[in-house]
Amino acid sequence: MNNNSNINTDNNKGSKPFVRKLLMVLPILVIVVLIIYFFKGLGRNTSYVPPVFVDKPFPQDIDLTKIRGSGESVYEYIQNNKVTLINIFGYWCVSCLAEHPTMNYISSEYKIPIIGISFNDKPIVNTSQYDEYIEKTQNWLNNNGNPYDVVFDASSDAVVALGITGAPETIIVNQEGIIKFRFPFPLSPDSWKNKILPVIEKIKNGDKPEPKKTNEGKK
Amino acid sequence: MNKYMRIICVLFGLVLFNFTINNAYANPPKKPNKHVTSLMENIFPDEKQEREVRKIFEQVRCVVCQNESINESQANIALSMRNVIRKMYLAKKSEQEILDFLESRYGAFILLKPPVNKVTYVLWFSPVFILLIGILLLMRHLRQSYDESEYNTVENDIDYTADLSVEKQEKLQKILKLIKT
Repeated sequence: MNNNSNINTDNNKGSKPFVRKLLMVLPILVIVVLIIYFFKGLGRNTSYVPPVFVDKPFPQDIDLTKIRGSGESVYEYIQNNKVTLINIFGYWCVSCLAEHPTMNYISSEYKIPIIGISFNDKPIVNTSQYDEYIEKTQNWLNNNGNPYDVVFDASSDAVVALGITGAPETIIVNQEGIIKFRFPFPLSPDSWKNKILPVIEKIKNGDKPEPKKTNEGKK
Repeated sequence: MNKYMRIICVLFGLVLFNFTINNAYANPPKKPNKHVTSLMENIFPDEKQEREVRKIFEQVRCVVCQNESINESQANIALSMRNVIRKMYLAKKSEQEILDFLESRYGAFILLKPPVNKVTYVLWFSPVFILLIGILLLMRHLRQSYDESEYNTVENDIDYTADLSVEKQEKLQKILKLIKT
């Protein structure tokens, strides 16, 4: 009996140090993993949230001012064109001014229809405020060039319906009216060539990217 | 037992403390007007409607000042969203319909209180899980240390009495019996 109990206690003592060592190392391991995780998180841009409203049909429920008095709704416009760029801009927005030369370049070099949704940053409760907003937008386009088919979004319906967090943003819609890509940053010639153009080529070629065509386009 | 009681008391105290603190932050003394009202905003003349629509605003995160609800935010996009929600509210959309619409366009991020679903199970239930693990470990540790101290006294008895003569061992047993009774 005595022997048996001794053996048992010996076994217990033999396994315990191993478990204890493991338990001793475990907190350190956990802390190291956490430190690495938090350290990586330090430089992370938490204000950028990737857009969710992608690969979905362009909302039909938006009641927008008709494009250039043509009577077309945005949805109809998109369906009548093959691939459409939608650019959200505002006369009050500095980064929109910075990306505007790129938009002008795109409209003159590539035959892609561009809808410009004019983001309104001020509340509108009377007609003079509405007129001021329209006038300022038009002046801005006259001064900086107008590559768009302009849509005035005075009530911000389109901005919220599209899930937009700020101007500028560029959205690509394919021939079926489905939002294929969103670029919620100011567009530069580089980002146009590297980010937007490949997506457009991909849509045009039916998911088969042909790098030759993009090269021709560049020249 | 005493030890357990003490620990349970401490845990209970901590939970109570946490609860009161949380409550103080979650329900701060009501300020007369928490809502940042733009002078240009079309506030509903009907008080009940205004209260209901602000209840929706409070649940929606401002995409610019990300820890504020659009009820408090002064950002332009928050104003835009408030106006759109007001319009939907007047069109007799329910609170859930409005929140679902916003979630479909901005993602679950737009809701200040994340929904409970497969993706957020970890977020919602990991604190409870970790607390349970902690309690289990604590209980195991306490039981172990209690058991060990008992074994130690027994082992010591054996070690010491083994060296004693038979007479002395009998004497010791008698004394021990006396003590026990």
